[in-house]
Amino acid sequence: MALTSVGDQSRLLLSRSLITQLRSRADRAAAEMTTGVKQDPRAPASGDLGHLLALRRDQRLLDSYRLAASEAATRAGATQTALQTLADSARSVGSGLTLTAGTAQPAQMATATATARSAFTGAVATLNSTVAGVSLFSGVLSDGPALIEGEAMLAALATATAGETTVSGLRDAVAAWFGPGGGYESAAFRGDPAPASSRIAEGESLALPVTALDPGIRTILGSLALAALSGQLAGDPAAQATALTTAGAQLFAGEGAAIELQAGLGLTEARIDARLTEVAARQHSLALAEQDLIGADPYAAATTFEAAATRLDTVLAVTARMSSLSLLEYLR
Amino acid sequence: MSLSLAMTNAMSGLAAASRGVALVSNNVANAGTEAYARRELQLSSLVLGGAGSGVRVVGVARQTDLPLLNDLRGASAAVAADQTRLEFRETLAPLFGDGVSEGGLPDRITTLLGSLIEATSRPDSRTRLEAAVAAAGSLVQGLNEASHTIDLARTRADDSIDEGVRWLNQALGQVAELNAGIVALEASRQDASALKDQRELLVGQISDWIPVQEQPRPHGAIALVTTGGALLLDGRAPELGFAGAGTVTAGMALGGALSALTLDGREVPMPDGGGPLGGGRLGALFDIRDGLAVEAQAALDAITTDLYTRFADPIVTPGLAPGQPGLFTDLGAALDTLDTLGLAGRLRLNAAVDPGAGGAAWRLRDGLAATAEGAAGDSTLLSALVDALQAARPAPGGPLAGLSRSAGALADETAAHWSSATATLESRLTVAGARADTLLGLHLQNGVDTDAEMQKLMALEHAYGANARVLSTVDELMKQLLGI
Repeated sequence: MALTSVGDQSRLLLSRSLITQLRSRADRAAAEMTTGVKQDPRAPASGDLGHLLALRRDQRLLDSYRLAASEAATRAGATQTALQTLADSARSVGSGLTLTAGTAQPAQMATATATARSAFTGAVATLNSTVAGVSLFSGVLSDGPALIEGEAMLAALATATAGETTVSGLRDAVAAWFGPGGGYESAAFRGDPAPASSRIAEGESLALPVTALDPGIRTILGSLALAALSGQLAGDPAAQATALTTAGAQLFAGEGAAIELQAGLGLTEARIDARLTEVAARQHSLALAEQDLIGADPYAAATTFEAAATRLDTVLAVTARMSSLSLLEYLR
Repeated sequence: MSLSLAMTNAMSGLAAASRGVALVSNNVANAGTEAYARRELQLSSLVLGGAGSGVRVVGVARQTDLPLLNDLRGASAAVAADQTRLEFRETLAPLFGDGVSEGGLPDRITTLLGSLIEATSRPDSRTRLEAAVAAAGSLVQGLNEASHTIDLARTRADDSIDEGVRWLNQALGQVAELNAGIVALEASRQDASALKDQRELLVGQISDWIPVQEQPRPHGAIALVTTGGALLLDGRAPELGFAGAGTVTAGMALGGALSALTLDGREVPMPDGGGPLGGGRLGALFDIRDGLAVEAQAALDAITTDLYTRFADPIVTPGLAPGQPGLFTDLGAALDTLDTLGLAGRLRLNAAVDPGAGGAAWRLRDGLAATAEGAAGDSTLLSALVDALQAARPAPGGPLAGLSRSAGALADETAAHWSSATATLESRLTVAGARADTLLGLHLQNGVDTDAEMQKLMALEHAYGANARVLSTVDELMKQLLGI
């Protein structure tokens, strides 16, 4: 049978669903324009969600790695400064001692001894320095100082070398104290030989291996201690002079060792720098990738919005016009 | 003699016209009523003694298209079913992680990893250790909440099935009663259209729960057959049976603590929401309770078991006897690997590291069994925890069973799996929705058109006027006759 009438409700249904559709399309385009993020609720879900989540995880973890790497860089820098101070001190005291030993004058030798003593306590203080509450040379026991006080160490040394009256005796006693198994390791060192390490990149740990147990540092300390204790041989100026000369020579060797430590640390610093640069570059590329996945082009969104708004306008005008085209209106 | 015949004819015409106007007014009044079918007057010429004599109202015809109506009901049921499923999926999506909202499982795992990495840089910092413990606690909380949400959804589904079955029994009873009423009216040649409207409305509502096809029976009664092939109502109303389970928890399943649907005492299977009584909202609720929610729980339990196992490894946590829990516990104790169902709701943070439970955050650095604080700068164990999370291990179950993934990747891909299944459902729903809308549009085209009714009214007006004129003319003629 031919269609002789079309139900009112079917017309209403059609216009209602059309208007709703267009309005939500316009709303979505408006949101995309303002936020710059795709508003299609299923956009990240067509297999890309796993990718997006992994991307976000990488970004967040890179922040953590960057923090860890910066903190490691700070520590390494402070350690470098401390080592530099030690090396400088070793050089200046060393050259002073060599000069003084050459004169063999008791008064000057006494002054040199006093200088060495204060240099020793200064070096211990440097080795006990901290950055942001973390002790630099005490290994994993980083919440406490690396060594006991300089004066206390010298007192312990004096006790250990009390009976020595010869240069070789004094020298060997000091060397033994600072050597493996000696009083330095057992009584003076307060830290832990295990170095502190942290994670600076995925699968990568970085250790800062310089502790106060390092042979180069012990050489410097040992030499300064020897010079400081040479006063025990004050009765024999020649012996004292020999002791001071030995100490001076050892100090130069120690300075060399400290510089080597610095070089090694420099390589570590370079590694940290490289990681930091990598992190910055990766974060940039991840941000671009995320933009690709969920970003919305504001120009395209604006165009969609205009189109939807125009169509909505048309539909509304047509609906209004159609509703007035009814027999009922003309029968009034 | 012919004059009185003419008068009779005119009067029948007037009666037919008035009846027609009444019908038009009924149609116009009900132009917006749901399940109202447009009425049309059926007229035929009256035959008296072999000769035509005026017009007779045969009856009132209800304009419906039964095949179209059946199609429409099937499509609406499919839409209702998929919408129910979609609501469930969308409730769980943010908990699994959807790339839009915060606090999903992938986010929580990332926060834990990040705080552990930052702790390796400053293992002496109590702040960082406590932040890592807090992140672990937040992860546990996320898993607990997700498991609880699944339990709630199953409970709601079970309750809805209970309510729905009650309502269906009542509605089917009412349809049977209406059938009886309609048959009685039609047998005595009266208009049963209003009752048929009510019945159409009820059947439409029933069809959203269980999609039915209406089949005509004598004298205006109907039988209801489900699209799955079961005879639901034919004369006698059926009895649907279901026992609500109260609160549903992870261990409860169909056949055990959860009831199945019965029809007149016989159990009816509902595989994936289909089967003889499936395809509508009722089927979808069973699918949620026994299928979708169980899958979601399995995926969640897989992630949880994976996390538990990563940290219960003695390499990661030295001093751990085999079988003892690490960072995470199963309600404070070790996990029985055969009993991982519902682990997501039972997972807890080991009290040894939780400052809120008498533990201390430094145990994260020094070992769960440590009795005193160790070296402040030692990041070895923390580093091992980071490795434990990032190592690729085969997933113990769920949608990625057997595939080797890191903890974060497992959570990411579980979320992606859930999300893409939701997207598939959404597009299916869009297609079903479009079909239902088209059929609804076609169905509504048969409805009341006020313009057409106005035209009919004009014609009836004209007919009434003409018949009245005939009547008055015949009256005049009779008067003339009597006036002789």
